[in-house]
Amino acid sequence: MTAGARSMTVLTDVKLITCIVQRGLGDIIVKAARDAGAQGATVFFAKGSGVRERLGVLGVAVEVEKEVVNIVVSAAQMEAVFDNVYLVGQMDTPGMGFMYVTPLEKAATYIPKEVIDRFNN
Amino acid sequence: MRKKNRSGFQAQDAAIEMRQISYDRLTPKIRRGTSGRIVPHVAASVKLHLKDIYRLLKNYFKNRFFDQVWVTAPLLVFVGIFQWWGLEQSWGDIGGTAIGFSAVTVGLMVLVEGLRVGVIPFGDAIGNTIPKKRALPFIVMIVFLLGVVVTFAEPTLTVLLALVPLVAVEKAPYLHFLLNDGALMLGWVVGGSVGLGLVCGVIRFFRGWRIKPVILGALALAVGMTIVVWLTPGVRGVVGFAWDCGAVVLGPVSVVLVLALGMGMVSAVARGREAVLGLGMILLAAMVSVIGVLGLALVTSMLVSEETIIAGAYASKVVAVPLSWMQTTPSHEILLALRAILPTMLFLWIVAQLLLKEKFQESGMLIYGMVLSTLGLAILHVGLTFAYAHVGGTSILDVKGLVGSSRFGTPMDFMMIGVIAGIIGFATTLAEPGLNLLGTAIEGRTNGVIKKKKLAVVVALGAAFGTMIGVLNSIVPAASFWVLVPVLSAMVLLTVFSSEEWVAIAYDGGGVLSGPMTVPWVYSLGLGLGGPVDGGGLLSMGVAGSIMAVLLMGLWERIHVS
Repeated sequence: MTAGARSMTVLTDVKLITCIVQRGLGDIIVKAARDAGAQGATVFFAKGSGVRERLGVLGVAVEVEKEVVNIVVSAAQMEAVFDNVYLVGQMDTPGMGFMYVTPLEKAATYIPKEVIDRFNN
Repeated sequence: MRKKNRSGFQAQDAAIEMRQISYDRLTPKIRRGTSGRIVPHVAASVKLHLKDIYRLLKNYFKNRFFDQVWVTAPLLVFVGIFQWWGLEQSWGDIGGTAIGFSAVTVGLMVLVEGLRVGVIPFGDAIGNTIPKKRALPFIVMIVFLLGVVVTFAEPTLTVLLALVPLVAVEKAPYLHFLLNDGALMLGWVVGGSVGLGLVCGVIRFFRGWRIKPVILGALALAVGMTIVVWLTPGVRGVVGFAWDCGAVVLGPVSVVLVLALGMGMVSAVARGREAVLGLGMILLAAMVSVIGVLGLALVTSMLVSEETIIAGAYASKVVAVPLSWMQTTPSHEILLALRAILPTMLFLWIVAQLLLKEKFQESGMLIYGMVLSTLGLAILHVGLTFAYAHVGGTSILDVKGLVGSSRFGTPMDFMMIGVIAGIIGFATTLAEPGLNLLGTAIEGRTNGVIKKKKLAVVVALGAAFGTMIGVLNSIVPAASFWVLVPVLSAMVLLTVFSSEEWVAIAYDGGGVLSGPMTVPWVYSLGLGLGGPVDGGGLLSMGVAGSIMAVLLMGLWERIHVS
């Protein structure tokens, strides 16, 4: 390696799990993702509509304000994280949220040197 | 048998029933009309099974209930301990207080939901629409009128007045006057001041003035007047009361409405980064009220002599009137709640409908929200009255009596009173609905950077320290100078060094603080310790404490990040 050169490690087989839940429940989702092995999450706020408008009077029990949780995972761990977030977040209850997976082309971030070295040998 | 997938994470496979359906089969087929355009699809409403309804509602209530329980629990625990250990009351009484507090928790839950679902969107919508449809002079007029309406609608000021027993007229003649014969005039002055303060806040949005100079200017004016009043004998007694007025002036409903209005307005008038937060109206309303009350006292002192007031007080006799049905629980509380909400909302509704000719979209939710807010407020007050009665009214806070006035001088007693005051300040502030909603709004505006719970705890801690210091001031009025000057200097210093956003958050947070939870306890504490003259100002000290705490939090965050 030339002296002073920077290195870049690109990750492949990356997926994005996005989970939209009611305001206040984002932390639960992040924890569930972490428990299943995810290494990070991003949360931001949004306003949403969906089943709420179709529930009639019961719609008041669903909050309009939402939190959007983005979790980047590997393809291998995707099922586990997805399932765990679904179960912990109670997505089978009406109004509790919506989640989906998007394939990502590539990702890049800080990887500890020890980890990279494992792949050089 | 447990299933392990590739990552090694164990799924509870026995409990999950997995199936896969193509989304194609669930989405509706769209019909096209004769012109080829789409016929708008109307989604059928979803019929829920009992199990689904149960789970949906369970989550709904559980979240909101626990949201309130964690803030009312400290107060309940503290009062319970105090009753058992300090006042040595029976379990029946303690149980009664617990029941009262349960009602308070439920009331808070319902109130906060009602405000969040009805009042906030409404205020936001109106705030957003007015600047688009009318020019500044019109807005100023409406906002001013709103200030007057909310002052008379919300009973917070009346509560303050009612809590003060007959002030010894010789000691503080002008305070006595303001609270009795001059009460109506006081009401108008406060109403006008609130209106004026709100107007200043609105103009600030439009002109893009930065908040720090405005706050420091208002503070300077208020402090200047305080000094003048302090030096004028006879009027001096009004000082504590005036500052408490400022702290108390916008009640839970109004404060939330004003917040929403401000935020809505600012998104239509967006100017500069700080203004995006939409804060400042509340603190200006408070400041101008302080100045107004002080001014009124000064003016009265110049027009009416002390002797006239003292003579007049002795001449009139207060006649006891039996309480009508309207004044007994719970009708009293329900009427109070209605009075707090209806006039204000009606006023705004008229403004929206007639003057702006605006059709409000979610009128169903608005009515639902208003009903909830009224109900919540009523239950809250019933709960408070019930709990309060079981604790024995103001006697709980006859802390002097508890400690024993004979040995009142020891530092140990000071400490104990200080600690008690601190705990009361903390617990009551934490439970304030206004704080809850401000926290939610700020969390939203800063995109989660400033977490609601953290902000609430910081504010409550600040209020605790402020109340502690204020209590020292009440017990030893002669030391006032040595207490107030450092506090004020610290506050000014912190303000100067803080960023615009944090200053806005801190000061509006302070204005939000004094409401149905804090006022009865903290104010009675002040009264019990020092009487209406020396004991006044305790609320304001709590507010000052929380303002400083938030400013410190802001500085800490800034240092941390950079």
